Amino acid sequence: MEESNHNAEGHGPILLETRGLTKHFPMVVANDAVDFNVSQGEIHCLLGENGSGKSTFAESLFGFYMPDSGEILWKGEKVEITSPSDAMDLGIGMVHQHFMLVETHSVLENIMLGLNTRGPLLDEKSARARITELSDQYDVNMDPDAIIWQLSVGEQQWVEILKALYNGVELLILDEPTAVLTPQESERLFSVLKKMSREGLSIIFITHKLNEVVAVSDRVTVLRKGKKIDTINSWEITKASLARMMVGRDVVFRVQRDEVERGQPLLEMQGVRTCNDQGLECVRGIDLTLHEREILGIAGVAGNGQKELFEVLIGMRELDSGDVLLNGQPISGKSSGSIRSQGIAHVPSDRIKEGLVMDFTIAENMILGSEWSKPFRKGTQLNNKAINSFAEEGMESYEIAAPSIDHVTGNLSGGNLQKVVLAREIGSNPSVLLANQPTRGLDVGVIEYVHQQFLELRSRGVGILLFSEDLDEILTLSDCIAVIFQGEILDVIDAEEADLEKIGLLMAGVRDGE
Amino acid sequence: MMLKALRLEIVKVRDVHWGIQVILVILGILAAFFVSGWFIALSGGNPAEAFAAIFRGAFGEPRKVYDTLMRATPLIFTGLATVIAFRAKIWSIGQEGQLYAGAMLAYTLYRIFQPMLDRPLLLLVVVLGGFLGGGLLGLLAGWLKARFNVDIIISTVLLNYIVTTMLLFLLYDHKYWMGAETYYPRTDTITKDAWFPIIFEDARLHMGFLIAVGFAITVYWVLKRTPYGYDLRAMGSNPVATMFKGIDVNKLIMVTMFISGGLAGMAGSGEVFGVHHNVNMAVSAGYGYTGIIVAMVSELNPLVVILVSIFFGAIINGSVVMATQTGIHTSIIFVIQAFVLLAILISRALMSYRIRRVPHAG
Repeated sequence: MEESNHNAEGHGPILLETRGLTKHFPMVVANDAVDFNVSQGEIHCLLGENGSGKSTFAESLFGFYMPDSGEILWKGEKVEITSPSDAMDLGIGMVHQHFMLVETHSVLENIMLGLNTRGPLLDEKSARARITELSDQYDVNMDPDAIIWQLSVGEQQWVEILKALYNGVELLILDEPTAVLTPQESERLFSVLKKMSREGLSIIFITHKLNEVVAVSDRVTVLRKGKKIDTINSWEITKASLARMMVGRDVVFRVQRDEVERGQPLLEMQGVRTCNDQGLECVRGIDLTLHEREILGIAGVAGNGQKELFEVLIGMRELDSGDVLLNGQPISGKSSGSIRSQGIAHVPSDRIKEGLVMDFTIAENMILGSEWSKPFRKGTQLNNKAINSFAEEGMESYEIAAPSIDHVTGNLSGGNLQKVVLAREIGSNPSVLLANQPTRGLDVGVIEYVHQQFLELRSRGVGILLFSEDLDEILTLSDCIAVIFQGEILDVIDAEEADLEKIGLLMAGVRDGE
Repeated sequence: MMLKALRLEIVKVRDVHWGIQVILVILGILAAFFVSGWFIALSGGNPAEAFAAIFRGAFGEPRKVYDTLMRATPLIFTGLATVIAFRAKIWSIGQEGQLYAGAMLAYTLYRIFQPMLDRPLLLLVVVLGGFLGGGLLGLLAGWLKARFNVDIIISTVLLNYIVTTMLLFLLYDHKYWMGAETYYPRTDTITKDAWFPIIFEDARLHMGFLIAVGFAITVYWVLKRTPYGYDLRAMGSNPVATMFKGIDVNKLIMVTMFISGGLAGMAGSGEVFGVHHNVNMAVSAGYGYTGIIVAMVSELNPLVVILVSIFFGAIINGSVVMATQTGIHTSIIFVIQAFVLLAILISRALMSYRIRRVPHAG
């Protein structure tokens, strides 16, 4: 023990400490002299907006990145962690946002993957026994022989956690673990994490959700733009004070919503059925109607058919049966180009793969899909003047952080990429906007702006279909909330009467009276 | 790991000053010549003498320069054909077959229209025939891709064989194209009214070179300034996003393969009506494949294709003088070409990284 921290009351000795940890990337400082420590048996939240340097910090601890300066102390001794295997040898485990599992292998095989084994043979028998023991200890129902892709996302996360525990970690880092979970699954995760910490495991819990900090942590460290703002005990905090530390100013949690009379039906789905890429039916008879001046929120955990329904609506996936009507005219079976030309704009969930051309400049990306339409084309040529002024405008109103509109898009951060997509789609003057997770990865301040834009569009008569996993977002914006579960709409609730618990249960597939 | 011990790390570099890029490319080419020279020495020749002979043969007198440009002409076309396909990440290697298809359709049209058309019209028909012949063959590969998802690499390679074998069949029988007064597999000499006009007297440089330069500028403009070029680049970089935004990718593949094939076909009609004045199995000296190297060395930039084609044309042209003066076989030019490509690719790869000291690691 070199020093004891007055904040770490009631906890064991300090397990890991960083002093002045700094990491630069081209053009940004991801971590700026961060001092941080975590005690034995503590759950320590790392809170910050996207791009505040949380993940970079964690990945420096896990050996993915080498810090430019500063030092890491493990049990009081200076260590150099140059690779994840170094980290695992010390006893540090990490569960990433994107799971690192082999989809076609079993739970057992995934857990044994990459372990240092003595001798040439795998000792399956003892591994199986250890996994069963760990599952029982934390009350997780896990079949070691289940194949990964058959498991739900929540279960896959448990595989990742078990894998770390199997390695005998003393410090477990979880990077935004609840992003893929239902509220109920999150609750369960929290209670198990608390149990683990009582048994002496230290946990670094990365999040940008204030509720989770309050629910799970012993202490919280807030990062903003790579700098540590403060470390505080969780019983001393309020949501408002945390938000202020995180954003650097007061945050309004609700945007002003005017009452608007909804208009004619715009987009009608009648018994829509389709299959996913594996050929399994994943949208199973959806009837929904989106009206003018309406925001229809579709709540649900990822992977319940939202992506496929979205792709049907934009003409990228074939219907097996049913109809989609726009203004009473069928659009199902039409090409994505002709659907788009009828005034349907869309924000896809995966901006990098589906929304942007990363090698293009910002200006070029701003007209993707409109390059043949009027102001942007003059005769046979692109009209650079119109393109540039449109791009400048979008860049200004969405506060896209880039040197110029001729900057290559691939160099932007996730939030800024999303802003480019939003500026393009909203700027195309649509009559219907389909948005799949439109604010994922955005800063609180920009989310506020996007929400205002959505409400502004709504008051102009646009109908918006909003797919979101973020219940707060759904509740903030929607006039009507439809809950999707395993490809079916379980219920459509008027936003006035919606309550969080009921929607949460529906998202988990529990209907009233069951 | 060794680097880490030395407190060094490799980082990606985004922007390299263009001056440094030019210097690196020149160093790369010098290195390529150095290694090629070693090969010449191995085969018993004197490298300095050989390179001097190549240079004299390529640029020694005005007529030699014109000949170099003539050699560059088909390379510009096949290079451009590669540029336009590769920019869209369509890995077509059918330029050789498309070149022959262009030559064959142009020759067919010549046989039909020669008796009835004046020289200017006949030339127009022959030029268009070259484009159309190569273009249709490219379109076939594009259609197979769009309709049945047949891999472009496979279909274009196989079509290369089919087309050249078909030509062989036609050239080996007097019933078809084999010339009346010859027992070699080649056609009779084309009548002079269908020959491409010569640009300078007493040299073999024909109007095809001017057309090629015109096309290079056009391709540059199309890629940079038109919605079609925009779509093509978008598809090359991210086909999924391109589809999501409503662009018909299948149509785009077919159009692009048609244009790419057409450009390669122009090389064929140029060689037949500008250089050989008959159709034979040696109309292309591997120009279709060399065009791929030209395009890669040019970094898929249509204007740079002109310069690189002239450079490669010079080596081809100069090698004839080298062979007669030093006795070294002309096949050494393929060695030089290959090393130039390797040197450029390596210097490219090195350019995007640099080694730097790790400040206070740990």
